[in-house]
Amino acid sequence: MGYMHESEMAAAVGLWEEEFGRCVVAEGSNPLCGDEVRICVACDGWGVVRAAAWTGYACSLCTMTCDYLIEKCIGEPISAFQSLDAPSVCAAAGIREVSRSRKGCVQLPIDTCRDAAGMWAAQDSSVEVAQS
Amino acid sequence: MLASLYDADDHGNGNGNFRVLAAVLAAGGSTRMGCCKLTRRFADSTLVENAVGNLGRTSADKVLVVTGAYADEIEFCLRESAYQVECLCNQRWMDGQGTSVSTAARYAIENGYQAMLVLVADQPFVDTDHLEKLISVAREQLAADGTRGRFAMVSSIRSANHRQGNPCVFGCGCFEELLGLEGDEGARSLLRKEDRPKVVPVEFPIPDIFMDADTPQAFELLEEEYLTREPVADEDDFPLLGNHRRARGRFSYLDSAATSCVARCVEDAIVEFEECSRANIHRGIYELSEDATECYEAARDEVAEFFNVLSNEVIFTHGATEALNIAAFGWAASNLKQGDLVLVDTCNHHSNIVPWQMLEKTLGIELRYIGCDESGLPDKARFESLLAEKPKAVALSHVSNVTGLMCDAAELIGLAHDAGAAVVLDCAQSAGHTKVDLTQFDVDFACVSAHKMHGPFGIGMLYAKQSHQMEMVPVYGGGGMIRKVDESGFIPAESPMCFEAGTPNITGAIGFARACRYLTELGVERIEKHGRYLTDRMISVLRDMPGVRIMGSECSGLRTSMVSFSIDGVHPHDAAEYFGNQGICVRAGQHCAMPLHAALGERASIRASFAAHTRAGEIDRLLQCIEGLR
Repeated sequence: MGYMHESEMAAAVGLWEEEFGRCVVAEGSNPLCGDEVRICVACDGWGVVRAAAWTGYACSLCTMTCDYLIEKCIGEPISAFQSLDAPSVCAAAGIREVSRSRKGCVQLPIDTCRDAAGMWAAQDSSVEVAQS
Repeated sequence: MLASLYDADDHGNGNGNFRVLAAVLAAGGSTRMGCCKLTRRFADSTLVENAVGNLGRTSADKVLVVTGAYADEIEFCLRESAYQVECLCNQRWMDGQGTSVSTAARYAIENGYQAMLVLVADQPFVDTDHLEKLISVAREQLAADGTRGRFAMVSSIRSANHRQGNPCVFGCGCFEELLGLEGDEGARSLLRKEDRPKVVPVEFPIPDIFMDADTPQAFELLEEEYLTREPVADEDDFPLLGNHRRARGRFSYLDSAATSCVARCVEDAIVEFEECSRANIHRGIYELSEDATECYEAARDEVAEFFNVLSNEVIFTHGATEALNIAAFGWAASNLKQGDLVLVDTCNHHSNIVPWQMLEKTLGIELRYIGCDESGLPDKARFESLLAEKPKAVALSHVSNVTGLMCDAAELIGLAHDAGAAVVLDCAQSAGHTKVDLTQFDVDFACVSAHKMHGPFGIGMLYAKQSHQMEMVPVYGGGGMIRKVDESGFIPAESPMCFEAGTPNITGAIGFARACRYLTELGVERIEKHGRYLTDRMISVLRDMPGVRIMGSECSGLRTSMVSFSIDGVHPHDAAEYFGNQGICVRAGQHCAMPLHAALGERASIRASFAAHTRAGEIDRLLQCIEGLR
């Protein structure tokens, strides 16, 4: 799904919740540059990502990373976000060199995706607890 | 002959570059001046030395000065100077400037140059960057296009009539035609011919490159204007600049608001102290330690003098941030109580916001933010209305580290005092860029960082008015800050020692003091005038660029030495990386001023900040890069 405007994402969240049952929305920001990203992930009951999108204000590196992660996560278990790391994401996304001062530009989407996975896992366990 | 010039396998100087002759036209009679204007004193030099010096710093292979009416005077002047040039007298100088161009063209042909830069010597605002740009564009043209050297790169300015003129560069394909020039018109007639050579305008953002002077009055005005625009400090005073230019070619350091280049004299003072006087202070009963103590306290005296305060009102800190924290936790924490109101300037750096927010949490003080008006300065109307609520303290920023706008500190401090509030003033961005007379301000606390004043890292100052020092408690405990310690407790030493626990940054203090003296030697008023000129120059072009937004007022004369802006569709980090790749260092992001960015409606910005060594040409080059990015 890639990048969406704020309003498009709000609409998508409603649709995806209807279609897949549950969405998580994670947010992150980089205080150095003002970047803010919001990532929405919809999963099926097995925790497999069925739809995802992101919105926010981001530089080119952050945008590339968001686009890459959103594109690649479809069909993957959301728990896979937990094992993301910047060097492997950069290598896979074709980002060849990231200076020290811009590592945060790549890290922000990764951290936000991890948060999304964490939120999903937390919700999952709370469901299990409630069921048990 | 021309074909052989162009087709030569070895284009010139052996490093793959085409050979470029730089010809300075200096043959005129200066009839309206009544004397040789090119050798008359002009800003500690002469116009002809200025022109030759600028050319000498370009990649031109040779500098030729075409003399005429005052051949002997000019040759003598240049012989006395440090510049390696060749002078060639145009015996027909009375027949007009065209004959001087012709003389230079003949020299170029005879000596196998592929291009010739022509510069009239009385245009002092043509600097090295301008000239180098013309030369590099000409070299690209020679390498790439099919004009076979029949081109002219002319200086062009962005204005209503797109004026074009000198300096310009002619390719070797024009040399034969230049040989035939006559009269006063110079090479312009060549460019008006029906079968004229390819004309490539090389644009410069600022019109002043065409400024010259023909009368004594105009000469004086030109000199005055030039002195404002010229860097106040010599680049050679800053080893960092020279090292990077040698290593990377073009290098413009426009991030002095983050940290300034350390001055060579500061480095020397530090090395001298380390090698000759290094010892711990105040406690050693031997000569070396006493010397070190003497140096440290002399440094305090010198810093105090720079800010026009008493020596014992200077507390050395690690920097402005620590100074502000000491003001908050050493004074406010023990003098304010729950519910007391503190007004915080929205224009502040985080370091004059966060300590107050910490006290809000721990002590229960109340904070109100002053906000900013449409110009980006503290909202005076709101400030006055908040003062009616009788705040106990006000945290102000003298110069915003984002907009560069300077508030009327004396006025705001006076209003705060009338309301019974003490004022903590952040002078980190004003010190060294404008005169900061803390006694005149009558401020209660103020802070600066030496590294923003061409001094070393890790040293700064908290100014605490003597009367307030009695109300302060030490924030740090340890050696050096006590008079007596026993099991029942301690008695602190006298101020300012009681606020400088442990071994202080002695070397830093020495460097800080030397930086203050260096700034005094340069003249803070001159630095301020130069900073204003640079910011006005930048804003005058930026405000006409569609899609570029300037942070804060676009009005002239309000800023000290920085301009922040954003470009539609280009993230500041991406822009800064692009500029960095062009050898231009600027800052991007929120500059530790999130509340101000929020108040001004921007997520982030790009900040270019200047210092005494910044040249107008560096601003122009940044502007050209911005233009290229949009």
